[in-house]
Amino acid sequence: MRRFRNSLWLLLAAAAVLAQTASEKPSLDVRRVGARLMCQCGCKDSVATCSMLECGFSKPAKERIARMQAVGMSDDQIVQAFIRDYGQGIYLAPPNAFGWIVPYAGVGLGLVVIWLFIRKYRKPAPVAEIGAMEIDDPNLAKYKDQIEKDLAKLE
Amino acid sequence: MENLGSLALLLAFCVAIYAALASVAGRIKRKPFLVVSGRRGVYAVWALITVASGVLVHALMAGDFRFAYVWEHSNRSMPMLYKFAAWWGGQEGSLLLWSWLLATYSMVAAFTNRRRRRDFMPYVTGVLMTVQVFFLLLNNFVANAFKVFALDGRITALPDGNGLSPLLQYPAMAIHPPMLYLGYVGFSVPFAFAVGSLITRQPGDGWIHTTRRWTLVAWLFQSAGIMLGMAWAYHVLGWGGYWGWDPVENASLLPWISGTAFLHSVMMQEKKGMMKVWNIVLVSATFFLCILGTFLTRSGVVQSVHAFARSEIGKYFVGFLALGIAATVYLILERLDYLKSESQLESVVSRESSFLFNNLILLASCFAVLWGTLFPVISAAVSGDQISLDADWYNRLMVPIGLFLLFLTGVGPLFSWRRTSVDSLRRNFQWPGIAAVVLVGALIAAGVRHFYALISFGFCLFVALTVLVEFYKGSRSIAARNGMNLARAAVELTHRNTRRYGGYLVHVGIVLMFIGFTGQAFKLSEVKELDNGDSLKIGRYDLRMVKLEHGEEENYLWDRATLDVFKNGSELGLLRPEKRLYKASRQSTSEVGIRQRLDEDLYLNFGGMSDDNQRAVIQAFVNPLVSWVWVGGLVLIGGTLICLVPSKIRMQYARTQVLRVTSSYATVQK
Amino acid sequence: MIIVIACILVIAAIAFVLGVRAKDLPAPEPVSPFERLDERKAAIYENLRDLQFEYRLGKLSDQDYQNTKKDLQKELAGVLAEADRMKAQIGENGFVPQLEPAPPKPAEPKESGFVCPSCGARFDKDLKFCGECGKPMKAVQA
Ligand code: HEM
Ligand SMILES: [Zn+2]
Repeated sequence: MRRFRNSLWLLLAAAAVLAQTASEKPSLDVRRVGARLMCQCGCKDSVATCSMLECGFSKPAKERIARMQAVGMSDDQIVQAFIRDYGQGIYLAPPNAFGWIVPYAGVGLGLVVIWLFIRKYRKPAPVAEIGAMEIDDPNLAKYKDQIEKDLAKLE
Repeated sequence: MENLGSLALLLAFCVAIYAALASVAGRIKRKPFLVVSGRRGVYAVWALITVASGVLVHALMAGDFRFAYVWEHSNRSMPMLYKFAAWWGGQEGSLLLWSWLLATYSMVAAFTNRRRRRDFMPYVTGVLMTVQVFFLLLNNFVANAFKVFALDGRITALPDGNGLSPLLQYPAMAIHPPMLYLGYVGFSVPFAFAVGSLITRQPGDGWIHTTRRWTLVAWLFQSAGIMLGMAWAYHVLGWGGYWGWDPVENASLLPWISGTAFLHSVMMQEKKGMMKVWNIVLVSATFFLCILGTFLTRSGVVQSVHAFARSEIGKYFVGFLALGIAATVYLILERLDYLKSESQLESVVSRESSFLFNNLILLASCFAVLWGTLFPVISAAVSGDQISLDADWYNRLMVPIGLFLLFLTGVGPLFSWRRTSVDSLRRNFQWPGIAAVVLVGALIAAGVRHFYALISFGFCLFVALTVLVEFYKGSRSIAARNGMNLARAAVELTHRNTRRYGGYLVHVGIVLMFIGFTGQAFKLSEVKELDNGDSLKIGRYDLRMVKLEHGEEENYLWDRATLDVFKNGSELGLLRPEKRLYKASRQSTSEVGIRQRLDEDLYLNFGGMSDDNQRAVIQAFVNPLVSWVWVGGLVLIGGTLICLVPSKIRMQYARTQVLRVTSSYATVQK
Repeated sequence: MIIVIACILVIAAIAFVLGVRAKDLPAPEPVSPFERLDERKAAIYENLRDLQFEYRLGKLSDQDYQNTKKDLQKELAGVLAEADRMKAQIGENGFVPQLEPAPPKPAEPKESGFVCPSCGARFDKDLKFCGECGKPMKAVQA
């Protein structure tokens, strides 16, 4: 399913030309900023989560973030710098609470529906539960024998 | 040839329209001629699409590069298997496959029921043919597979084709799409039966009995398709995992989840005549999710969720979905009175309620996945912000839901129908519950601190034990009564109620898969640039690079690393991850090196060459317990196959009185 | 050539679809008025059977067993009563006169096989023990 992601290995060739030092294990700081930037390699992930090894975009981007952080730029400034270079399209808003609330609201709604369902269909509790196997309605009593006979056969 | 293919498709389109109209008109006007003629139309549509598919497949196998489709998706050097698989390698062909599968299913449904359920079969035919008309519309006018190349007005063949993407040239990937489609398409049949019985206000739940097998078969294929997709991702994509929550994967998961909910909630209707509306809603939802899934996988809009409605084919799908959903909703609302529940809940603590929660959780996870797939689009539309939801987001959302589902899988079957007293609960829960607590305690003592993992392992043991106890008690009873040994008795037990015990096996499969999923909590990964003689340490493994080679084959260039694997100092053997760069398509693929064991996999991926072109970038993963995902998948499939075997029990009812009367009544009437 | 094949295809399709002769039309199948009741009855029997089995395995408490069994029996009696009412109605209307008395339950003679002497279950193989009730069923052939 990630076939498209890998199709971008093409970019690898280009990436190899650029000399960089590897930053395989981005620090938490780099990841935090990287999560706000959309990887432009076509993977739909953020710079922080692009799982393509040697990605032509996210790898140098991570290094650039690290360099910018090293000279003391704030998260905002870094993101702004990327937006200047690549356009507003690169910015990824943090998934707001909405993304979380809606699924759980769905669960909550479902619970309410179940509660209503149970309330609607719950049989009123019988006055007293009797242990005996009696069919109390006389109209039905005549079937009792037949049922018992059939039951014996069922086993 | 291409004309023959196009003609057959066009003819199929016309006949399908005729069949839909004739069946329904024949039923309304009570004209048997039209009904029979409509049914024959179904057979004719199948034959015509078969001809068209035959033409396409022949062109692919023979390498007829006048066809644009053949040129785009095959080339001369491809093995025959993949030439055949190119039938579904591209959009046009795969939509043709969809049509053909639907025609096949429709034909089988029409044929097997030709003498039965005469009052609503025409509607079933009508619904199936309506869906068929939609897909034939696409086959004919939107994504025609029979386009040919022309030069100066003359049809010309190109020398050689593009070839199938190398990533797809894997056996698992070659059969993955047809499996998924068999599942997607299969749900049309239960849907059609549901609509037919709704329109004609059938008393009872005949449509459920008639379609249970269809549903199970469709569900089975879908499960198999999803598993194949996971196995493919794991073995081919090289990122060390099998599920990345991307839209295509989600699309295949959605109808599977709602189908699972449907499989369970029909039991409420069969046993107690409740939840009739809900069951209709669930089949319809499953069917429309299948259509959505086809659309997502096959419209090529996967790359960007924002292209949903922009692609041309997307408009047709959106239109079809909108019309279909509106019509179904209208029909359900129209017939609400007929869908009244027949009985009530005796107690809140009962199998009935456990099914309610089962459905709640399954639907919630279905909704969460759907929401995650669409959220970026919604968010962009509402606030203009782009959002990407990564795998972490899904995992955080889905793990608690999944764990709850696992828990329910264990407790649900222990509740008895109608009512379950505390005493009954204690009998069934006590020992599995204690064992699970002991296991969690032991794991904590052993130093496991991962919260979800602890819960998950506890639940896994709990569910597995409850199922085991069920099998044991049942077999013991049968063994004692019939003088068999325990193993035979277990087979006998399963055979007597294949649905129950097959279902339990499916649950065991789910448990095993959860064990595999939980292993992800302890995943290790490491990346390093290695030269000959360098080594990399990951977990208890030491890897030493012994050889780094490069080479060239006819179709591709390759780099291969050979690593010697040591675990706790002892040598285990060599692994050879490789990277290939295909010359024609400039695509590269990974041949990962995996040491697969039941406890953990060591997974090596050749990432590429370092910047100075001297060293190999090796990505290493230790994936604990992944193999259980595959084992669980196989158990799940085996369990479903058992569910498909007819139970011995069912046949026993023919002897009861009313039935005897009925059959004589029926003969008298003739 | 292609044109000929194309013509044949078109004509064959149309002829097949429209060429429905009178004898292809199926005779209307007999519809049992009891179908729905049979279905319900079968479902209740299945539930009862299940219940008994689970009880035997010790999954249910006595209380639960008795209560649920009583419920199911009541429902079953309801269905049987309904069936009788229908039978009586049909009898009055004269459709099926021979069914008027509640029919006894004859073992159908044309059915062959091996019948368990204790429970009446029928098998097509000669079993030593009954597959249903487990009692020995030596050579009692129907
Ligand atoms: C992803 C999770 C699950 C899967 C894939 C699954 C799958 C299945 C399948 C395929 C069957 C057989 C159905 C048939 O043959 O018609 C079945 C039966 C059953 N399932 Fe599940 N199930 C899941 C979760 C659950 C849960 C959460 C519950 C809890 C209520 C549950 C309760 C049952 C019961 C009670 C049966 C029927 C046993 C019988 O016939 O008495 N399942 N399941
Ligand atoms: Zn017997």
